[in-house]
Amino acid sequence: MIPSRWTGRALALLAGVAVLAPTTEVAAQGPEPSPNAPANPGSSDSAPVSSQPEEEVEEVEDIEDIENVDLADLLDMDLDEQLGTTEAVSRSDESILRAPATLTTIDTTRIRHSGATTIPELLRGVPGVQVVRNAAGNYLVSMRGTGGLTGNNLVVMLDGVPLNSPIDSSVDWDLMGLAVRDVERIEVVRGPVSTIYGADAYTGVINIVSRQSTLARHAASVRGVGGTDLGPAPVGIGSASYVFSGEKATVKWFGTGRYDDTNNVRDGFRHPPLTQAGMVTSVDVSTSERSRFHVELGGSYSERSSLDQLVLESHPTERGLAFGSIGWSIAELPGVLDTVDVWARSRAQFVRTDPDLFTGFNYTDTNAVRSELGVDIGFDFHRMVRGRIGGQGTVDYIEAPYLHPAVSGTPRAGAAFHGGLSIYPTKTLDLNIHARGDIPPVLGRLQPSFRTSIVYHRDRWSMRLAVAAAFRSPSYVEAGGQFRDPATNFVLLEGNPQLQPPQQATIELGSIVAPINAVTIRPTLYVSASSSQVIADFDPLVQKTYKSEAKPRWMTGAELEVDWHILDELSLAAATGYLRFFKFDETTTPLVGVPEQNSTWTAMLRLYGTTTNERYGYGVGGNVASPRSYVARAGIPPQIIDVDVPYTGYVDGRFEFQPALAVPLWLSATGQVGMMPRLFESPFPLGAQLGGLFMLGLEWRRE
Amino acid sequence: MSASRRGFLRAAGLGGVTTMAVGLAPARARAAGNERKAAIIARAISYERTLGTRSNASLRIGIAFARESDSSTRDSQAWLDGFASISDVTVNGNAIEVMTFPWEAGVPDRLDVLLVCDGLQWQSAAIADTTGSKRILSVGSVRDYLDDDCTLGVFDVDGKPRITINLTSAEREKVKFSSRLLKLADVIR
Repeated sequence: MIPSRWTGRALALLAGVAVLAPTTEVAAQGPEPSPNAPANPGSSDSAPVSSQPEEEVEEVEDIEDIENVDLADLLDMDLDEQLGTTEAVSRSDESILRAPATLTTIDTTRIRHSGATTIPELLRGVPGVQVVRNAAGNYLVSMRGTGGLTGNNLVVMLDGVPLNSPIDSSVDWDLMGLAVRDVERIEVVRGPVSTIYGADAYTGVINIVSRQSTLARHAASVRGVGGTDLGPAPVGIGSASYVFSGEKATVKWFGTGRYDDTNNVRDGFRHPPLTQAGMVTSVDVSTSERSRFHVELGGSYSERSSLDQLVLESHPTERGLAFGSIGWSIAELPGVLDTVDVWARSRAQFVRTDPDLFTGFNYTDTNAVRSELGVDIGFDFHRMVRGRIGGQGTVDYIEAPYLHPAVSGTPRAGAAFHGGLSIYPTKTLDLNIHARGDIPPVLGRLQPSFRTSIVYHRDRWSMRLAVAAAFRSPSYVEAGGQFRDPATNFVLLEGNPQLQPPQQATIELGSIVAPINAVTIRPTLYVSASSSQVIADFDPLVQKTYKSEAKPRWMTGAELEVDWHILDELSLAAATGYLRFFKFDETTTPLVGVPEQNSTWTAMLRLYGTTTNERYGYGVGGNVASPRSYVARAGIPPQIIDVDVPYTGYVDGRFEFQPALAVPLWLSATGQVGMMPRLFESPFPLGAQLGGLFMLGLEWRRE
Repeated sequence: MSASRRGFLRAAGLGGVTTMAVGLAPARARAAGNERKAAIIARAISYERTLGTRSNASLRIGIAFARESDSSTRDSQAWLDGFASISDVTVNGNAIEVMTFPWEAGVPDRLDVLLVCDGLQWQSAAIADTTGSKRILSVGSVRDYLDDDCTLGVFDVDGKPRITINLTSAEREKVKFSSRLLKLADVIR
């Protein structure tokens, strides 16, 4: 019989762990699935047909209110089917349950009912991720112990296209070109993944996936949101989208614009407001049953504060980003060949500012283009062995007055190649090994990375052990910078071409457990060694250069995430992360990786859902991060910053409703308040206060 | 064996069976008979966002069969039995009323859901016209129906019941399913 939802789940939760193994032993008897198919070991052949009708009558006869029955239970969905698949971890579609790295997925429901109005705000509370807001549109996001003065230690992608700046790998979060409400999901992969994503992905990758309509062939929306902070100061956001999902093609278009002067003050100083506009469009066509063609174009423009670890002044700075990608893939090829992906992508960035406003360093007159061309080939050697190889070429063209004349305006080429094997010795065990060699344009020499993992998976849980090593290519500023003081012509910044690439090696043990369908628990433990971190070298007194830290930094961390689908209309997400450095050189202060500059722990709790068949949506939550302190030299000319950041956090909420079912209009109210609004979290002396925000919105949505 | 020990083992066995049925049933693949499929269809219908505007106090489900076909008639009876096993179920507060009728006799009034039995493939165009014009949610008994005409179906895939939804048919019938259902279903466009 099926008892009521609560009784059944309580019973199952209590007995879940004890009976996991024996039950899955029964499930393992069945035809072997194909290696990359979801772990679905049963088949109708394994269950005696004659006993089914009696069991089903027993199970369904006690149902009274059908909406109290969990549909996933009725469908006998196992954890693999419920979690679905991802391409974020290995750049090929694979089961989340069996993915060989720590992955957090922030899905569309949680995004839609969050009080976050920017993508970095959505990342708060992801364990292992540290988010710092400097000013409107100006964020530093880091992972697993690389919090500090820079945000160039992870790779951020939009629909698989990297958007990091070619100059210094920093991320302009205001140039994503996508409104928060047009994000389908955000996939946060933590750990060294350079073997998949190349240089810079040495602490992880964040992949932002644009909205995919599943409700209708044609989906469109137009939104307007406006509000104020506690100042008051205004914010206005407009966005529009169109998604066509046909049998053979998907066409998407997104546009967004934002004016934001909220929470932009610190001790009477007001930062420049954020003005931003962006657009993304993509076409995905199935050219045949086994092949598809994809093209994506996007562009953004913004003007915001210049605040940065090299620029401690805050003046208006214009930034622009344009990107494009094109790809063709074919699957199910004959013989041992399985898939072929041919792709090309390019991104161009500019930075403009008025240099007369600055007394020191600034990024004006920066132009950068990075173009890449690559091919990836998958092999299906045997049902137990699959392989993958690939290669790419890269060309950079960077122009900037703060780079050495030999570097600026000179195209530089790089290359990379990778190969890996996935072995499935049994239906429940996956072995992966992947290696890559990169010759980054900046470095000009081969740098290896690797990842190996063992994943053991059953119906209700999986466990993975992964060992990986990856690196970040030194930036053009770090390796080839040359900035002269306009007044004295002194060289205030000099890059170091001999700089070693920062590296990170990690051993990680993680698990995904679902004691009942409604609850998923994901614990992870890791130990990492971070070496050759970049240190700003001020030995020449005024002139800043860079050197590599000699000794590694060791850290350990733990992350825990719980998702509880309490009811169809109510979900709870909770997460916490812990980080501790246990061996490091206390006499050096690298740009990132200083223990005091990383929160020891973070926590997040969120309730969200919809009701009345999605006519009402709601979400409320909060996050908190433990104190940090920054004592370092930053800026050009250098200043000593000495900033203590206490406990910080936000409480946010969002409520939306559709007044009339026949009219596709939604009204919304969004609020976000810093736990202590006058507090700040930025390492920079001018970093803005947390503040608070309240907005009302109107959305026309056709789905 | 003492009575108390027998009682304990019986309770432990019951607990184990209940736990397996409720919490761990997904680990054991079972093909779905019509009783389970009826429950799944009723649950899927509860996710239909416009249901409250269309049905009155009851959810009327009509099971159409081909009069001249014995297999079609048997299919309709099997479905009737399946829904009979969940006769006490309410869907969003609405009681379920189920009836069978030969397609040739015409569609009864005020139907909310039309379940099309095997054997009516040759009437696919007429079925689509009827459900589209009258805003009736169509459910296909066999997979073929979902490729063209019907919106919803429950079929066994690798020994487990799976929901299939045709969004083009859903648009024609002015039916809107919530995103929660679509995440768990195979969607055809």
